[in-house]
Amino acid sequence: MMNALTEFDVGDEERLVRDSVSRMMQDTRKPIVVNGEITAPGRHAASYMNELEALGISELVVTDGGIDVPTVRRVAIICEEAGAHLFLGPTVESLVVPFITASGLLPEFKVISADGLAIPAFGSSLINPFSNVQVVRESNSLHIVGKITRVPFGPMASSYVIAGQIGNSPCLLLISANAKGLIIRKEDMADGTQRAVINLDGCSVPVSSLIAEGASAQKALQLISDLLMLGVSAQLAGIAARVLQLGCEHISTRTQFGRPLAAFQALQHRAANDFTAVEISRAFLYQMCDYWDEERNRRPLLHALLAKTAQTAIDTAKSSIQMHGAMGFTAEHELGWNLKAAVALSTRYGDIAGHRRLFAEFDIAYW
Amino acid sequence: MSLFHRDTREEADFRKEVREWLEVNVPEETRHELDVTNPEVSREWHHKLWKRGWIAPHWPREYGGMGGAVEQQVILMEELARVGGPYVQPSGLNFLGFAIMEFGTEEQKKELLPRILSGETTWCQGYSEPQAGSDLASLRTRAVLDGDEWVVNGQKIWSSGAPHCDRMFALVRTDPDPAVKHAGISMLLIDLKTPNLTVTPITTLTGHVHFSIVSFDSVRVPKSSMLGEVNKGWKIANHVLTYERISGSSPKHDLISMDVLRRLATKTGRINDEAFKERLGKAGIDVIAHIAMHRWAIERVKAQKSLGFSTSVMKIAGSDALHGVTDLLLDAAGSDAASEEKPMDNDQQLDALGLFLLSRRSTIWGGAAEIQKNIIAERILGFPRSWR
Ligand SMILES: Cc1cc2nc3c(=O)[nH]c(=O)nc-3n(C[C@H](O)[C@H](O)[C@H](O)COP(=O)(O)OP(=O)(O)OC[C@H]3O[C@@H](n4cnc5c(N)ncnc54)[C@H](O)[C@@H]3O)c2cc1C
Repeated sequence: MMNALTEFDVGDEERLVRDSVSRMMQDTRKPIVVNGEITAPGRHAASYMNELEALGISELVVTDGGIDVPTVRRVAIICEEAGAHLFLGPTVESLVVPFITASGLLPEFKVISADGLAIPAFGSSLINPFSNVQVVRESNSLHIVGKITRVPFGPMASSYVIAGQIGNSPCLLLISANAKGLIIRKEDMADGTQRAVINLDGCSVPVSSLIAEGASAQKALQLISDLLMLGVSAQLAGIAARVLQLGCEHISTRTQFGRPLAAFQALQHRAANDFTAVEISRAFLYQMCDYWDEERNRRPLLHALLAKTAQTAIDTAKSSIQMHGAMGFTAEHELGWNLKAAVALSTRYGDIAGHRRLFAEFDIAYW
Repeated sequence: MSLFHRDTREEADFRKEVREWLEVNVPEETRHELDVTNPEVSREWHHKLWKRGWIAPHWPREYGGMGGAVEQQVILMEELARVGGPYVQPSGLNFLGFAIMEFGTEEQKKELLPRILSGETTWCQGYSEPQAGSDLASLRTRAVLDGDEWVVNGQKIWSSGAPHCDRMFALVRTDPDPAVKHAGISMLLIDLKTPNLTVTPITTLTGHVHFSIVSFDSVRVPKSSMLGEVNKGWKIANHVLTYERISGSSPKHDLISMDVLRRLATKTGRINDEAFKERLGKAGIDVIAHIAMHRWAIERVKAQKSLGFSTSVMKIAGSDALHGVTDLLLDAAGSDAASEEKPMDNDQQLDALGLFLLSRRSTIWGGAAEIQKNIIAERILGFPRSWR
C-alpha cells in the first residue's frame, strides 16, 4: 500500500500476510505483449490457480476458527493486495468453497472440495438466485432445468456451486463442469477475464451433488454472497489505492512550466480529493470486517461498501488517467487496465446503482 | 450499540441511563436544534447536564469530568443527536478546555475550568479578522503590554456565540515584526464585558444570530489573562483547531439531515422513484463511510494515539457527505423547497431548505475545505508548497 495511506492492519501477523502476498504478486501489473498485441496484465486461467496455490492463500484464511473477524480481515488484505497488483483471477471466488467447509455450515462439503477450482456460480445477481434453476429428484439422479448467466470465471472452473429449487424449497448443488448435458458459453470481459453462461437444461447429476436444502442452503448462500461482496470490495479498494499512488508519483516527477505538476493547486486538490475517498473507503472496508459478526447490518453495509469502493476505484482511476495526460490513455500503461478492472469488478455482482438502491431500501439502524 | 461500535456492558448501561433521562428532560421546543435559537434555554440545558454530571465525560476527573471517558462522551453525543437535544456552546467544553489543561497556569485551571463545566462562563473563539481568514497568521489585532495590562486594538469577526457568550479566547499579535508571521502571536483570554469592547451581532443565512464582529478600542486586559507564553500562541491555536475539527466532523448534522430526508421523501412519495432511491442510497452510503472513519478516529483517541492530519480527511469527507444529503433534501422537497410553509411529521418540521442552507457552513468554518486540501497535499502527500 502507498505509504501515505493509513495502515489499518493490526499486529505483525496481518502485516506479514500483506507483505508476503504483495511480494508474491509482484510483476503482474504490466500488460502482456503477445505477437505485438497488448493483452490484459494479471494472470488468469490455469496458471493463476497454480500461483494462488503456491501462495498458500487458502491455508492463510481457512482456519478452524470458522469465519471469524481475523479470518475476514485476512481475506480483505489478500483481496486488497490482489486488486493493487492487478491480480485479476478468482481470488475471493476460489476461497468460498474452502470457507464453507471451514464454517461447518455444510459438513458434506469436505468430501467434494478437493478437486480443482470450485467456484460459486450464482450469476451476477446475488439476490435470490435460487429461482434460476429447477431441480427434480429422480430415482438415483437429479434432473436440472435452467440457465445461469454472467458467471464470473465460469470457463476456468472445474466445478460449480449452484443455487436452485426443488419444488419451492431452495437448495445448493455442487456439480462438475463435465456433468452430462451441461453447456458452457464463454464470454470475454474487458479486463481480460472471462465469464460464462451455463445452460443446464436437461443436465443430470448424481444425488450426491445436492449439498444443502432449505434453511441451510439459504444460510450458506447468504454467507457465500457476503464473502463475495466483501472480497470484491477489497479488490476495488486495492485498485483505488494503486491508481492514487500512480497519480501522485507521476505528478511529483513530471515537470511542466518549470515546476513539478504537483506544485499546481488544481492537481493538489484533485489528489487530496482522491486521497480522501480512498482513505474513507479503506476505513469502511476494515470497519466492515471488524463488525462482520453484527449480522443485523451486515447485508446493507455490504451493499454500501461495494458501491462506495466501486465508485472510489472508478473515480480515482479516471482522475489518475487525467493526471497522466496522454500517457494515461495508452494500452501499454497499467492505468487503463486498472480502470477496466474497476468497471468489471464493480459490475461483477450487481452494479453500483443497484447496490445503492438496495442499501436505500434498508432503513439502517445508526444506533 | 451504534454503527461500528459495540458497547461494553458498562457502556450499554450508561447509554440506557442517558437515553431514559433525555427522554424525560429534553425540552420539547428545542428538539432537533443545530444552532443556538435561545441562549437562555441553551444555558439552562448546559447547567442541567452539568448537574447530572454529564456535561464533559471526556474531561479528566481532576477537572470535574468522568476521567477521560471518551466513549461515554460519544454515547452522550449520539443519544443527544438521537432525541435532538438543544445546542450547547461547544468552544469551552470541546476546544478551549483542553488547551487550558495543557497550556494554562494552575490559577487559570482552577479559576476557568470549573466555570466552563458548570456553564457559568461560556466562551467564544476570536481567531478570524476581516483581513485574516484562511491566512490566519496574517492577523493584525494588536496587544501591547502597558504595566500590568495588555492594551488591545483591532477587530475580530465571525466569532460564533459572541452575542451571548461571556468571554473570548483571542489570537493577538504581540510582535509586530516577527521573522515568520506565525511567530509573534499570543492567546489572550478576554472578558467580553470589558470597557471599550463592542460586540456587533451578525445574522447568518439561516436567520440565526450566530456570530459577530468584536471590536477592541484600547481594551485593557490583565497581564495574567494570557494563555501560554507570549508569542507562542500559534501552537495553542492549532491545538484548539485539531479538537475543533474532530468535533466538527461528528456525523450529528448528517444523521439529523438523513432522518429528515427519509421522512420528507416518504411524505412526498419521492422515495418510490427508482432514480431518487439510488441517490438516497448514495447519500446514505457516503454518510456511513464517513462514520466508519470517524469511529476509527475515536478508537485512536481512546488509545491516546495521534490522528495526525487525518482530521483534515475527516473534515472534507464529513462535509462532502453532508452536502450530498442536503442537496438531496432540496430534491425531495421539489417545488415546495422554498415555501415557508414547512411540512410537518409527528410534530417535527421537515425544513429541507433550512438544513440545506445551514450545511453551507461545514466547508467554511474551522478551516475551509480548500485549506484542508492544501494540508493533505503538503503534509500527507508531500507535494511542494503551491503558490498562495
Ligand atoms: C458558521 C461559521 C462560524 C464561524 N465561527 C468562527 C469563530 O467562532 N471564530 C473564528 O475565529 N472564526 C469563525 N469562523 C470563520 C472561519 O474560520 C473562516 O470563515 C474561515 O477560516 C475562512 O476564512 P474567510 O471566511 O475569511 O474566507 P477566505 O479566507 O477569504 O476564503 C474565501 C474562499 O477562498 C478559499 N481560499 C482561501 N485561501 C485559499 C488558498 N490558499 N487556496 C485555495 N483556496 C483558498 C477558501 O477556501 C474559501 O473558499 C466561522 C465561520 C462560519 C461560516
